[in-house]
Amino acid sequence: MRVIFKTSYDNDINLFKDKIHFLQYVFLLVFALALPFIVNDYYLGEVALVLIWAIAGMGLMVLVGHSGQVSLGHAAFMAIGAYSVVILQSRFGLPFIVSLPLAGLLSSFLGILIAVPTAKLHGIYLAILTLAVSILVEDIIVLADPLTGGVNGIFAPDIEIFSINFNRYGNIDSLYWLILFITVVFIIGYKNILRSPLGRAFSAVRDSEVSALAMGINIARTRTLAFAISCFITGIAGALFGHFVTVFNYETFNVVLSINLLLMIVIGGLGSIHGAFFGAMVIGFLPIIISFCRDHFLDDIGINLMNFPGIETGIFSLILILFILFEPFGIYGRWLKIRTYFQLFPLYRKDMFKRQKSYLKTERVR
Amino acid sequence: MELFQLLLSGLASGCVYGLIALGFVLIYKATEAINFAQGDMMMFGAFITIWLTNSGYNNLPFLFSVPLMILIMGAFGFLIERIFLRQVIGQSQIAIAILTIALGFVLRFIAGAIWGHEPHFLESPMVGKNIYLNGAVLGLAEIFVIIVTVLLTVLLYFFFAKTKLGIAMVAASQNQLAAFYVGIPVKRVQSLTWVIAGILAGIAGMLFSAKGSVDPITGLLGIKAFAAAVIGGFGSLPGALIGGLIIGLIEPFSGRYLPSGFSHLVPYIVLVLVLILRPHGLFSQISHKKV
Amino acid sequence: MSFLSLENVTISFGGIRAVKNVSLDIKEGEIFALVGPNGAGKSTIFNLISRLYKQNEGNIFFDGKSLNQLKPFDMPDIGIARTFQNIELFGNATVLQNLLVGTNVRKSSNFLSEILFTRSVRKEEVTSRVMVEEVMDFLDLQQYREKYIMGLSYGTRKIVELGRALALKPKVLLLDEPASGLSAEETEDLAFWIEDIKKIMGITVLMVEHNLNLVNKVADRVAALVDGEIISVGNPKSVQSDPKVIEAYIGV
Repeated sequence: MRVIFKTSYDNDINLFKDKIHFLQYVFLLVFALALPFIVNDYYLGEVALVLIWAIAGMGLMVLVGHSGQVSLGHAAFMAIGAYSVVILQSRFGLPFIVSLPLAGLLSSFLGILIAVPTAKLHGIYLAILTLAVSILVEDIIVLADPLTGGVNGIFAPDIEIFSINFNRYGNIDSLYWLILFITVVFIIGYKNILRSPLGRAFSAVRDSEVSALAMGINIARTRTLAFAISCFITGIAGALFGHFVTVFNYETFNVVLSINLLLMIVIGGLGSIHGAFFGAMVIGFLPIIISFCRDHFLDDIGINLMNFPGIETGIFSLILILFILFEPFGIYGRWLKIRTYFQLFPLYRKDMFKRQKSYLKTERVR
Repeated sequence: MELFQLLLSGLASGCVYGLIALGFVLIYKATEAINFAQGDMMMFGAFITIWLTNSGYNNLPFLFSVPLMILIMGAFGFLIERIFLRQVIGQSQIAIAILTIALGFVLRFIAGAIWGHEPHFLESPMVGKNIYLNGAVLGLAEIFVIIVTVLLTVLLYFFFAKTKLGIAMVAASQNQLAAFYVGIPVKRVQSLTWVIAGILAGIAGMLFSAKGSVDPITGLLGIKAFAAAVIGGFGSLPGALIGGLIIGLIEPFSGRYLPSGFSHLVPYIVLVLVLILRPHGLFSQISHKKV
Repeated sequence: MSFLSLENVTISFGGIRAVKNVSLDIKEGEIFALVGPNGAGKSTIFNLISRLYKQNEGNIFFDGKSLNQLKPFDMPDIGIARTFQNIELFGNATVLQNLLVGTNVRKSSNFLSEILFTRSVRKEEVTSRVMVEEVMDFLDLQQYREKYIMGLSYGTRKIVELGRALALKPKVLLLDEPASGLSAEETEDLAFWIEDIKKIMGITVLMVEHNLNLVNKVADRVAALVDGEIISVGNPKSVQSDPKVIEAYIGV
């Protein structure tokens, strides 16, 4: 077990607890940067996609994990991001480097538009409202045919920054590095939120509204801010996703994707940045694992997965159910336990993380 | 007479929404959980009815297959509560909601794997039969849907207002802990709630398949039933039914009088507006926390 | 001039008048206790002062200003902090984070500079932490610093809640049943802390409390409340010997 002696307040504030902690992440970053030289283009593309899911997951995590508002409609914000980044480039001739943040801001604007009138909605009601918004946005995209290409969808042009070309098929390496760069920027920003007054305001609103009020926190404003930040991040993820898949239509961002995003961060572990990444890995690598199983042994024993469309979602949901039943804190929670086990070895007790079970206190009272 | 036909078809689909919404509200009242899988349970009930009745499958007489389906769906609800929901008693509402969302996905997958993704129709005795009234053509199936819903509502009313068990369920819904202390077997009440919700979903599915086609994604209809439950305030059984009828009636009329493409939006716009303007529906049950 | 005052305040909930025509004057630097049976309206008065409820009639003044138009989240700004009867802490956060929430009201940074975590944000964080550590030293909370609230005992949570209110650096502290659920020793400690809060920090304390030993030990003045009405005000001894108070508690 490592003991850290704190000698200044900065010890508590810094992003990394100590040198070892810092070096671990430097190593991870170096590994991520070197990945294009290690794996082939197909797997690099899959990793890039996982990073995009992770960004979208971070966006949702700000809202669900840290400010306690559940959204079942985040695919709508991805859609806004994806459509606006393309339309801003192709219709208004703006460069990518300008349209990307603008796409995030537009998505953020929609988020504020939803957050302001619903400031008094709680938990499940907000979830249902965002679910409806997700369906509405899907339909509005079809209706706004002249702008969005309607049912046929829309083509994303190649990304160009200072005449460097980023294309999934042409040079996936540079596209991957671009996505990695944006991911790292968002992680740092997210970490900063968590260690600043804003992050504390978020968790205050999540845990107890009445005492957040007594501590001088303007709840409506804080919730709106959480929505704005969350939708900005998710909008950017959507924009990157649009460029990554190069062609998409309204169905790309349907309500099932909205739900999947939420399931993703729950599997990963609510309330931590790690959770967004673990969840993204599950959602990104599961299809690969399934197709690997199909090619390598299921065919041999005569099971043809082609007969079961939607098996990814089915298995994914099954995994999620198992997690909620046996590990409500997600993969990150399990990871923490395993880590604690090794740090305290041999002192770990089995019921160290045991929770008290009781009947639900009514949530009808606010 | 077109108006009358629109009205009838609206009422018929409204009944199905209302019954699904009833399932939501019932479970919410008794366990504080929102069962996002209720729509998918409805879809499952529809498929089981078809599987029992249709000539391509078991070819049982309709009057025999319906009670059998009710039995199966009741047991199904019981098992879902026993295997999954009982494990998460006391966890947050959101965790339970997410659990039921995942259950819904699994049900959809299972239905697709067993019955495929093509639309199915129920071969009920009402199929294709019409009643001609003053020049209006009324589908027998739609009238059947409305009659069954009315009967079911009366039955449920008597159960909750007059029977000891029903009253115990209402009590447990107000405060689980308090109900437990006064000797109501809360867990058994929850099991029973899920049995009833399963049966309601089954009947809703049977009615739905009697008047239209069913495929595994039919369960997404549950979202419209949410709108119904929310309009009803999520705590009131009659509210859920009325909400269902409102949503059901909005659909054919907006389809008739609005440009195509827009009618699809209307139920969701209504849902959003109700949530913004009357956050806790027309029959609110939320009170403020005492500090 | 009085520091915190209620003038003829009345509030009803659906026809039931929970607080009837109550007037109170709390002087700067005193410890004032509200006593009375359950349902007498003590917590309602707290909720009125912290603006969670709005009175139907009457006025509330603090430091010469009317509170009538203010929102609950304005209270820490003007110097009123409170605790709750049934602990309302931020359960999924550590003790340190809970106390740091109290420093949010004094921040000058906006959310953009916080996302970038600029130099000035860091500087402010350090000052906040210095202050919070002082509060933790004062209340002996250092050992729980990095512990999550969920894992703490009831008594410790009560103290953490007191600490969180102190982190707001208030002028007035409203304590809603601070000793309920505490052990005898913990109540003993609490009595010293409350006196120190008044003497060392110069904070005026208004508290609701059932434990008359504690009230006798620390309170300068007491008001007895029955059925939403004040029946007696004065020093602890005189209020407890007031025949009306004795009747309300023992008689009928």
